[in-house]
Amino acid sequence: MLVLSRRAGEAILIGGEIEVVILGTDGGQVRVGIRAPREITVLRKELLQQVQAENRLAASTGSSAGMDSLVKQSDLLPRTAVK
Amino acid sequence: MVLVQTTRFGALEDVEVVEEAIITFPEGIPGFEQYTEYALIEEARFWPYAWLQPTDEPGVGFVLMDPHLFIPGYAPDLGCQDLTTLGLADDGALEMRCILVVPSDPKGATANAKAPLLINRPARRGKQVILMDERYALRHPVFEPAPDETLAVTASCSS
Repeated sequence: MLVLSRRAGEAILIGGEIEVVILGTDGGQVRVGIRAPREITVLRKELLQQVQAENRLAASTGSSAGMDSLVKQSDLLPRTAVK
Repeated sequence: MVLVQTTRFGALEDVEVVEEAIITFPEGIPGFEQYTEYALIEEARFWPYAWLQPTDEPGVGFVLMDPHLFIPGYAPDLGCQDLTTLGLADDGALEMRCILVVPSDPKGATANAKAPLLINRPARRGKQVILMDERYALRHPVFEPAPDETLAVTASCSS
């Protein structure tokens, strides 16, 4: 891993199109600004990990749960929703 | 017609689906990046639930549901999401589905409203997007508590 030291207001370029700006620090937190083309997905890493874990959980529960039992619960859907 | 294998009901079985129901997720879905081709199995007897089955792996599958059925007015801000993998589509052609986690008591089912699947049905392409939109949760309850349970909660709070 490349390690760089930067001060607030300084920036890092990744390729020609991605710019990471260190906006400032506050206690243990670092505020970072990112400029990137629309087709580059920028995400907090832990959010992607949460979605991966949730998908794995869904795959493990979905196979064993009868869809029939879910269908029987459909009366409990919020009444305000479109049916 | 295409034959797809699934263990949806425990035993391995073949399900016949129309070709239009085979949807490509070019990036896979998070946690299952190795599977890019899925059958979207929608049967009237299981409405409003659908089943998303990787065509290469009968042992994995997802229960899907239209989020508008449990979140009225669900309209996530797609912001700078990159939708190019979905092919050209105006917003109206995109369908949304959420993946459900179904515990042993199905009343406790939750839906991932934070990361909906967007499906371009004419192009037969899909993508699971992760929203920056803070209004929607990773575990949104699908069902409202039954009226008696609501009362029980109220009673326990006031005592």
